[in-house]
Amino acid sequence: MMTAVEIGRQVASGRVRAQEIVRAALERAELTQVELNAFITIAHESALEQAEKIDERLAAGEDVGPLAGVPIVVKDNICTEGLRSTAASESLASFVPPYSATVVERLEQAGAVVVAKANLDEFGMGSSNENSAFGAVKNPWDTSRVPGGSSGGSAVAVATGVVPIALGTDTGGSVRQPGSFTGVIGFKPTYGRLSRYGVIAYASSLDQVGVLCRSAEDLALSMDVMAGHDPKDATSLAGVAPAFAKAVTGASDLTGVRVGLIEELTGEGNSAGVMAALELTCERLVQLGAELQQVSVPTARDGIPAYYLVAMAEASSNLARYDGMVYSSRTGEDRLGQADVMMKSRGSSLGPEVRRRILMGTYALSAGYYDAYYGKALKVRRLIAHEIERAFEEVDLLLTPTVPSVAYPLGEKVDDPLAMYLGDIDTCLANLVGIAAISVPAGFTAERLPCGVQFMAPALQDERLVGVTALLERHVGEKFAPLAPL
Amino acid sequence: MELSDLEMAHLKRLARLELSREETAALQKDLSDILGYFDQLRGLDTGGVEELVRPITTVDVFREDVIRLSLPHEKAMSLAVEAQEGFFRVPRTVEEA
Repeated sequence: MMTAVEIGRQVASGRVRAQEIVRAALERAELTQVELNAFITIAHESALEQAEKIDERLAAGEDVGPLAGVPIVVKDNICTEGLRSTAASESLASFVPPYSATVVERLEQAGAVVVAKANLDEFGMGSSNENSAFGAVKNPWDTSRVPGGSSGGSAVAVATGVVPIALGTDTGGSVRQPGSFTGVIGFKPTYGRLSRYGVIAYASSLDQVGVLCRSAEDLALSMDVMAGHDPKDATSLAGVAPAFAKAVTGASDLTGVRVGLIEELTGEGNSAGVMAALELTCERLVQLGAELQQVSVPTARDGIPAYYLVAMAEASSNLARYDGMVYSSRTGEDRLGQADVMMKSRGSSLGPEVRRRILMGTYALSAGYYDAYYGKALKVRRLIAHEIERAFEEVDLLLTPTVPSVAYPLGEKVDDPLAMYLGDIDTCLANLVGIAAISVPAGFTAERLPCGVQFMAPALQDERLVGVTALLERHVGEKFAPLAPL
Repeated sequence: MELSDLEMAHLKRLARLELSREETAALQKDLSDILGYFDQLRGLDTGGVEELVRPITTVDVFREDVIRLSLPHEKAMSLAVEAQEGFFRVPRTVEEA
């Protein structure tokens, strides 16, 4: 399986045609689909059409871009023009966007070809990819287990080698957690680093587009192509984006780099396999020259309630638009009046977890409860931000497990929402605070399940995470992110 | 924190969500459990702490006041649940007198 960088080079040089690469990716997507259900739409026609155009342009001597002919998968809550984008919701089951998200547009302009839209937890709400109107996704390392979520389909597409790069979105860990569960890199940039124009909103102060891939080089290339201000997104960062490729080629060792283990998240509550993965990474970091130390973020374990309150409150507001009036789907006869038709439409087209979060969020924002819940959560969010800021005065990077466990059996947490929520304990902090974070593969447990660890960097220092990933990748070699069995 | 039947009914109305009786009962329990867990935040001293609504500070930016092409009307309206003569058609909002 070639990296995106290699595919781009080979296609540009004419050694292989974009159509061959894209056809192979489509076939592999079909092959995995039967057992793993990672995709909601496989885009045979449009993908082959685009690949043909790329080959024609190359034949005419045009420069197609660094991602020439690179097949990619896009999470189905990111809009793709002319290609159904459902957010894994019944309410958007037939929604065909009239425009593409900026991130997709930029990747396509650089030569990438969307071969499939990935399955997810409906609107990004879930950590196991079981909350999908299109069925659960399975983990390729053990098909009786979850792949993680909400970007489960994107992670599986990369882990099984369908594509070298997939886009996900990360509101509380939705790129990093499936990355850890499937043995691939999962990167959530600083809030505002990647444009969210054309991304279906869940919780706007937390959502960020992220990348799943198997090599640091591919991560850097995709980030270099996508990052940069987008006037269509008011939260898009102004200024020049970091040079990601340089962070990979320029990384030599970690001499003088201080890495802080967050005390509150690296002890009890983690499985033995997760602790072993963390220790192994610590050894590697020391071998690379890093200085390890413990740091304290006293309210780290309050991140979950603060995060879920904020996310649910924002979701209840963002999802008010799926009311069956303008678009989405309508149920109920006109004579019932608008309010009842809205209630019927929403009740029948939004899934159980989405309904649960909307109700919770509505409650947290409702008169009489705002201060006790939503307001309180925002204050705790400020406390956590201060504590993390202080930690970064002592160290350059923070290190935690990505998730307290490896992939768990399908169905295990479906009826226990709280247990599911607790899995986001390590990842949700970066979203609350807006900083960059990455899950890096850290080996396999005794039961042959992959496990990742999480690094966090101060806001705007995204490239540091790409650099440390490149060093660990070089240090580990071939076994860094092996392909999952098919 | 136990949610009452009346609170559930009010909440469904506020959120514009029709739920079956079984689901309402199940959610009443879920929501009560989740709220109970969220109550751990009450123990934290947040006196004098300002709310953090957005993780980064951005400044308002004005774009040039130039007319630009946007999505064509017909293309946007093609997504409508129900349209008539270029307008959205929706159920009656106001009752007749």
